[in-house]
Amino acid sequence: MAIEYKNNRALFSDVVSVEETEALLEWLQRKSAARVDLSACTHLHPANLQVLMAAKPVISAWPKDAGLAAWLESALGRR
Amino acid sequence: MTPLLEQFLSEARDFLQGIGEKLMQLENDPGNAELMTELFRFVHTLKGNSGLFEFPEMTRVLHAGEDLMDAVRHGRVAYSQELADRLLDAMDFVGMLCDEIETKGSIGASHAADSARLAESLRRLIASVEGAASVAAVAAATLLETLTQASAGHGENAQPLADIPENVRMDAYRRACNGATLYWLDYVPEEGCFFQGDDPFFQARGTPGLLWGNISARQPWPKLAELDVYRCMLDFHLLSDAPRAELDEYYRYMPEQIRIVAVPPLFLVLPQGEPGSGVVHEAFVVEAHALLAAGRMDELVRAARNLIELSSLNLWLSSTLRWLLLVMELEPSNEQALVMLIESLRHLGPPPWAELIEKLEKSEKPEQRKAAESAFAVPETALTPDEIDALTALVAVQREILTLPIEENWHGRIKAVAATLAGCLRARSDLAALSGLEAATALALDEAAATPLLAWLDGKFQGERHTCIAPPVQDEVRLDRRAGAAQATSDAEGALKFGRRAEDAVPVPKSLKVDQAKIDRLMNLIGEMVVSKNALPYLAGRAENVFGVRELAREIKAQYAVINRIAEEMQDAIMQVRMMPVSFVFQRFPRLVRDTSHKLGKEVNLVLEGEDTEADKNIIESLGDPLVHIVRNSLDHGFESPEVRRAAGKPPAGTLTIRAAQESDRVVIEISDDGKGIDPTVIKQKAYEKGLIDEAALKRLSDQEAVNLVFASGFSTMEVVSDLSGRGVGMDVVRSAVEKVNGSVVLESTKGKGTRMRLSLPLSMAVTNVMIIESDGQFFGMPMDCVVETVRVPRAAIRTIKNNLATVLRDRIVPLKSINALLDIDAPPKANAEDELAVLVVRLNDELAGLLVDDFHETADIILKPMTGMLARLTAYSGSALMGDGSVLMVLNVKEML
Repeated sequence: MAIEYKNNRALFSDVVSVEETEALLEWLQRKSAARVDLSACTHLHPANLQVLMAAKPVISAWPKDAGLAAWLESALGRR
Repeated sequence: MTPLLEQFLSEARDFLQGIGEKLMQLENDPGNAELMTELFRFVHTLKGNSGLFEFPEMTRVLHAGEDLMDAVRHGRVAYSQELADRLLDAMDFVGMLCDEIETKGSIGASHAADSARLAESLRRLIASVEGAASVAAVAAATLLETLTQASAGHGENAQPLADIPENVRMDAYRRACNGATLYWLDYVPEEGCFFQGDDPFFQARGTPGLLWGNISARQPWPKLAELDVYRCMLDFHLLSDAPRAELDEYYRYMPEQIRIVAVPPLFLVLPQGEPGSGVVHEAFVVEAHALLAAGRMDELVRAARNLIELSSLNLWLSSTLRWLLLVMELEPSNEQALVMLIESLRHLGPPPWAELIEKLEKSEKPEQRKAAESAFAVPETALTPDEIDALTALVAVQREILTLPIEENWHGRIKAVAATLAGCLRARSDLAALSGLEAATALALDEAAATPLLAWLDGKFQGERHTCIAPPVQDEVRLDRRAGAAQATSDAEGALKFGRRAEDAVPVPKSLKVDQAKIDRLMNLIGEMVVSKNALPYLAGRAENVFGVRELAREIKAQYAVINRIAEEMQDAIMQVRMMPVSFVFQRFPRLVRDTSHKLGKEVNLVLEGEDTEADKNIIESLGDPLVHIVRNSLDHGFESPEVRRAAGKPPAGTLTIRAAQESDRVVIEISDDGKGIDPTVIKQKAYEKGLIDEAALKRLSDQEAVNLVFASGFSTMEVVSDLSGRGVGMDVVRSAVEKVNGSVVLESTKGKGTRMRLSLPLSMAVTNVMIIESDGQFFGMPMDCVVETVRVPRAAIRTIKNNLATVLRDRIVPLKSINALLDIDAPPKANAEDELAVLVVRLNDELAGLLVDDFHETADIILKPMTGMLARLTAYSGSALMGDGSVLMVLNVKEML
């Protein structure tokens, strides 16, 4: 599993494919105080990115991959 | 070039020809629905075929053409002259691409834009929107405008470039000043792209020369419950310093989704930050202007540094100063820019770079501005004096190039010069001169010398030559731009023309498509030729023996040798025509193996070897079904599931190897797997249960013999009949299909290690090699394939076991049959003077048998004609052949006889 769900936290790892999208959306709809940890993520399919952009969960950790982090920060808005 | 590609190219040419013809016919008969449907089918098939290869440019145009034809076919769009013109243009483009593929093996990425434009112009007809202005160019123009206006405006978020962090912009600016060209890319993926398996984010991340990128939503996000996650609503914006060609290449599959525009480096110089107090600013501005005007750069740098130290980092002021320092470092001569930057401190807005650039262009390089203008805006038709100057200069440069000494790259150079000159001619609307240029170019390329082209150039531009002095080298770039502008003018004006005129040399296809019946006829004729040629030795014999003219006999024999050689070569040549590579059958296997193994939940790697081995068309065609059977069997029964394999210590993915090779005059195809192999005990048991063998055989059969039981008719080991195999038909069908073309099958299997099946087939079925035997005064042919040896056995060595004759040959008992008895000829076999009987030992399904005949004769190549009509029921003969002396030779079928 590229996304591991633990209570209110979703841990992304490696490449998160489009297959994960439905589950992610469903999970985000259920959790109001969702936190997303992207540190181990190396790439995620834009469908997942759309979900994150629309749901605006708290990003508790940005990817270690600097290139990906820069992209995601622009899309998800690091404050 | 792969055979598949070659086939595609030859077919594509046929289709293009067909499309052209149909369009012409439609012109006379626009209402003909049948023609229309046929035309659609042509375009549709061609598009489908092109999809097999990596030619997105071609497929895109054809796809648009297909959509258009579909719309016409269903009456949504009316057929018109314009439609035909555009479609013909598009097909010319495709033809041009075909030529390029043929010469270079691939399509250059530079065609992507043309392809997109053509596709757009075709699609425009569907939407019935008029006007041929290039959408891509318009889009690019607006994009540049957006960037320009944004940097001139004041709203912070309205500037796309201002989103880029300052350090990235500074880095990019530095690169640009070091000679790189910066490109701004707007990548707008299709909404449905996820369904096509695209990952636009991945695509964007991989952009060459990526300096910065961001993602934005196309529209505000709806509530989560209403969100359609599979509709791509993201836009990507990127800044890259890769060469334009590289970007085009990278995005060649989606030119309609990408807009690329060059960013003038100064546009990146955008101070940002909080306003702060204005007092210091004013003082600094005055001082800075004074220093700049006096040319005291060092002091200005020092003053700026001091002020930066005093100010907080995130102030607008310090940002401006940082840029000021950078611009002074990289472009110290660009005073106007510095002035504007300093001035911008007064109003705390971005410097109006667009105005500056325009001003600079107006004063310094009008032609460059023109280039930018005509590339993006609606071009004019008439040439301005400026452009005429540029053309003249350009021609002079080409002349210079041609007079240079010939070096290694002369080929490309001549082509480049020719292309440039062609551009000039088009710009001058001097299309009539184009063919002259082409002729001169071809001549120059042939002779490997620039002289013909030079001569043409001098003849053509004689009048203009006196005005031109070869311009300095650094001007060349500018000139090229001008030429580019001029060319863009003529190109955009009449939409795109890839048209070839009738007098153009059309490349003649190298392959012919011939009806198989014609080849067969040729084959029959050569067969008769071989037979009648064989009559000559008889004639020579008659001349010598009957008429007693020895001299003539020798001459006839000499002539025979010549005719024989020619006839053999001819036969060989015709055989070659009928040869096909086994890849024709093999190419379906990757898909078959993939699908079947998926269905069965197994992992199988397919290895194909020797795909270019050739054999006669009939042989290849007859191979198809047996091979499919074998592969399916292997997948279904041979391979274990990944878990079982792992447990057995094998790699989870099995390997299926199909190898073809030529061994003397036979093609050998070997299908081997590393699956579980065949268990002889299980096979024996099954065969016994099905009543195929009796109890005695159950004990007697060796493992190898048991394995071969799978070929027995009605044999199946599977308890459950699956949709793949297990219905008891299969291996016996394989064997009979292979034997029908004189082939043989050998199966070897090691339990637990795998199975190997060897099919051996003749290269060609046209000629059969037979041994002629004599019995009771009659001649018969015996196919050499089954002849093992010829021996003379003393009558004493022949024993009678019960009613059967047998002898011992090399410690083996060989049963003997008299051919006379088998053919119901009422005569005993004749013995020779030493009382020895002639025994022809033949092989029959791995067993040996001896045929008692009267005598052996020579072997001969014959054209075997199967028995037809009433005679077809005589199964003892496989056919007949005509001999050189006009007699008919009956060829025996050992299998049926014994």
